[in-house]
Amino acid sequence: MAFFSIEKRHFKQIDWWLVGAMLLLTAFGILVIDGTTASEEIMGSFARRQILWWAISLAVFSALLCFDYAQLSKLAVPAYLVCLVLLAGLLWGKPYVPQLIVTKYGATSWYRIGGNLFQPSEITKIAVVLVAAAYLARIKARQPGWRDLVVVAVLVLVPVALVKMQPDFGTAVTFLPLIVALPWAAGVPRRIYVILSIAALAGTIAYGTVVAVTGEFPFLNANQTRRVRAYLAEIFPSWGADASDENLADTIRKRERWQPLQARIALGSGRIWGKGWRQGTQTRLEFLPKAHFDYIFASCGEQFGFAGCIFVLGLYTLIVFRAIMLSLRSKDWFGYLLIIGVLTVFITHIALNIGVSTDLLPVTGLPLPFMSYGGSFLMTNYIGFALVVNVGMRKYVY
Amino acid sequence: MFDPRFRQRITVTGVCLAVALTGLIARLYWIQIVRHEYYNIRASYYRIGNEPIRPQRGNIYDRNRRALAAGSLRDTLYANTYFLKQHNIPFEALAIQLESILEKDHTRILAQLRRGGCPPLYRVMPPEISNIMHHLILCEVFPPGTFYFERETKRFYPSGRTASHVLGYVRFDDTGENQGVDGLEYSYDHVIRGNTAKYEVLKDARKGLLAPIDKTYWSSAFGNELILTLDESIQHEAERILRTEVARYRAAWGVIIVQQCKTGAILAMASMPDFDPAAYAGASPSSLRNRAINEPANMGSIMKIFTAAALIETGKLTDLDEQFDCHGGSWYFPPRREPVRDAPGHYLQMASFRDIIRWSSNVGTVAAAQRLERNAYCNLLEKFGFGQKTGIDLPNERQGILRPVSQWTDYTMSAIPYGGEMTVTPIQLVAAVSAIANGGRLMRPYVVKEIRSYEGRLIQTTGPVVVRQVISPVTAGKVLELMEGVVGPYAPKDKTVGGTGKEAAIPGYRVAGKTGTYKYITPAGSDHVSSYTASFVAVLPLPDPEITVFCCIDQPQGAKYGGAVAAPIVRQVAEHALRVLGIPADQPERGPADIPLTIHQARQSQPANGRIETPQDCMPDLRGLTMREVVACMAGLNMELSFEGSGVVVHQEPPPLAPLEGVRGCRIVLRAAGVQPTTSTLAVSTAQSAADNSGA
Repeated sequence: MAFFSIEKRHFKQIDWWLVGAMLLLTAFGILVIDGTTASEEIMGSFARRQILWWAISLAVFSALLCFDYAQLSKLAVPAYLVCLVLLAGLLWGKPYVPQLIVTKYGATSWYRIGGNLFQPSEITKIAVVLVAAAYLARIKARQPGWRDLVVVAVLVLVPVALVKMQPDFGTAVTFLPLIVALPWAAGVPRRIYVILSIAALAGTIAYGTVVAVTGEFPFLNANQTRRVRAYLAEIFPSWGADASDENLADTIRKRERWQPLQARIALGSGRIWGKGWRQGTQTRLEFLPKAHFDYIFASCGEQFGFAGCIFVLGLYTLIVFRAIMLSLRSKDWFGYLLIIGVLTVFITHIALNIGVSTDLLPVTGLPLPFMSYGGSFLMTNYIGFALVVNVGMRKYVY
Repeated sequence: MFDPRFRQRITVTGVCLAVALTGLIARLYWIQIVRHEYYNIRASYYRIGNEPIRPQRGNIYDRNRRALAAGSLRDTLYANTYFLKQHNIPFEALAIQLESILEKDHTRILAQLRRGGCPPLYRVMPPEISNIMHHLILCEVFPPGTFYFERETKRFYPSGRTASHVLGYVRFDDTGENQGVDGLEYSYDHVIRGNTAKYEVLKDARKGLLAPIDKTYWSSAFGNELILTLDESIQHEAERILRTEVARYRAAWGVIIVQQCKTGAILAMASMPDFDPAAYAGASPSSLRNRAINEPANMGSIMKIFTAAALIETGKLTDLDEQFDCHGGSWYFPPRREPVRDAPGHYLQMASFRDIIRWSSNVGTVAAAQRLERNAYCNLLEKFGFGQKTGIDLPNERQGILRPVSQWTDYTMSAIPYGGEMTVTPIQLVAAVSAIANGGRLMRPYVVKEIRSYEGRLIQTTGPVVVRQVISPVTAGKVLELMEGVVGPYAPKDKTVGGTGKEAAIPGYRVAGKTGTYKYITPAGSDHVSSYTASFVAVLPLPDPEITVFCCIDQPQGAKYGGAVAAPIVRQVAEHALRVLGIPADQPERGPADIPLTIHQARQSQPANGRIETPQDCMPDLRGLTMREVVACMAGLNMELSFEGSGVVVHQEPPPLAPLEGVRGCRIVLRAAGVQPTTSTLAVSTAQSAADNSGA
């Protein structure tokens, strides 16, 4: 089987609903970005840059459709290793190639290539999905069990550790659901999950106990501790009053709760139809900072209201639904697991981002797939869904 | 292709996702629909800021809308330290750069900059510094954005020292706003200062001001405007004359008040020494005092007016020609050991009451006053307002001393009748004299006529306020008759007419007045050799007085009598006031030539003809008109007109408002405007026209 294999029949199998929803979301995302950031120009610089990245992403997307995804399983391990090297390079390469490595917002997460920034942790998501899916597909001859779960966990946790060391907690978190989701989809017995659930419950209780007793949050740094504490303090006001200096606690809470509050205000002031494109006050007047990135959903809600939010959620639902359909119809285990893996990362992103935007979760800086401003992330989304579409295109063996 | 087991797993996962999605939508519905109002308000709370606007102090105008106190817009310079920090501009360098431009110490500028925010570097800059700064910013010597300007008002007084005591002055209070300290600036501070208004602005998260939302909020920043009863022209003239005279007599102080006696409105209130309200800081405390209302002084013989009023009102004196023994100008009234003396020169033996007032005989007045009953006398003086504040709308008024009857001694009845044992402020005296001129009705003196908003809307009008009827109109008329005798008709050479106030006579007008000369005990160590207070009060023109003019010169050197010092001043001020107010001379046959007439003044004094309705069958008032206008005016009356001279009408026969029944001809005398003609020029011009006629 040739590595490069595209035939006319494959085109007929492209899921246009899925592709259409992706394109529509990206276009709508650019509209929201422009409405958030642009000044009086016809189109702001952010939107133009995003369009450029969109074009590049589409090129990569099209190119990826030309390969048979089955061949990619061979590339999985090399790609995974390259990604690990890139991630390691970020952590330890600074003394050798300082001009290539960029630290922003306190995290060393970017390579500078030309004038653009490239975030290897994004593409690592695909690599991890590939390698985990490839592994699980290969052992499908037998009933998967504990051992496979551990292998997948190790495959996921190595890059997670590297990303966490950047430190980029948010991105690291997005990998974690893969540990649970892929073996679940691969057929790891239910009892194992029951045991895992009990263990998780116990772990949570233990963690909660440690927190309640010591007041410390294990595994979280000072910054994250503050955010989580502020978040919990709003849910359980009595609990938040543990600081000896009440004013200080209040100040910290206000500072940490500023963004979530402004996000809620942005959403809430939008009402049903929103304030209109480019009419968002909280985002445009920078009360809600970085609204074209982490809080793009709030910006969308401010400009286009409840209707805009439902529109976005509807498109996501469509994408997820179509992708699941494709996964169930895929011709082999690898394709099936590939789609599930991509979807897992995708849904994690959506859930965390919208959860933060609607103030259901503590603040984590994560982008919204297809909509948030950011080149490498957009490209990662298109690469991921190129794989999904690719699987769908080639669902027939002949 | 799959085992249905996996299908089931996917379904379970899908259901979980669907539940999560439903929860999310519920959350969105809660935030965006249910709680919309709450978040909308929160949004405006952050977005909409209130920017303060500095109060704009209202102007003060005279009765003709000439500005006496106004605000001039000046720039205040602010530095934007956020901008400086953003662009890494060192504060030190900027401060040193600004030192020479703003003429301020750089350490002070630096301290202001270090405080952060947008500190005002220079409040209300002089225009020249402001121009330099604007120029430098335009030339980008300073990066644009470093500074910004705000227009602020600085109080200034367009007519300088005029009415300084009435207006008062302002200084910056704790909040940096103009605060009235004295005069009207103080007493009407709450009216004219304006509020620190706020207007809504759109702001971004960096608290940068983007745009004002609603400008209607601005209006409350503007203070109201005051329109005074003062006439800037009379005020200025009174001050000019007073300044000259106080300097000439090297007097301690002097006061002039001109009041409309029918309303109580103050037309002029001058007090020397005065000060410049724009530079009050350098003024001596003595010059800041408005002595017209807070210098209770002894008015001496002027008080005889009220003795006379009391005698007539209580019926103790019915015949003004009743004779009293004046004992040759000196008499011991028991239980006094010192005699009551008259001023030398007019020692009287037996004299009518009329002459007693005319020559201001102390002995005669006291002799007549012995008829008065203490309670009634004191009561009447109180009714005239002595011993109480007049209630004029100026701050720091004092009330003088009039002791209650219970504290009167046996000496009192031989002191108060000619001005002893009591002190009176100039404004009290003017108000009381005006009451006599006004048929016995005491009017409350006032300075503020109207309060208007900054856009001219009338907010409050002060009308004349009758305090009380003090004496009957008949009594008032008799007292005026007595006072007219003091001044007499205008006849400088004729010694037989007039009394001590002869100097105040004005040709063409009947003037009533009274002199006052008080000799008081010199305080030890006083520089002044003479210790007299010379005063004079006049009401004019009789028979229906319009204005009361009062002058008081304290401790004049070289002269001492009210008749000699104050009366001429009163005359000058009164003449000017008559012209400005356009009060016509009511005795034109005594010589129209004596009133200098310009077309302008004539017009001002004659709103006649077209504008004032002349009753049917009455002679219209032609004075001040040109010949052409006279012809136009008389066209409908079918009369023969005979003109004499050229220019504007100064005299007419029949007089204005005379009935025209049976009158066939009219004689009109004209004269070139502005020329002060003498009788001889009139004679010449008449002779010439006669010659022309005969030649023809």
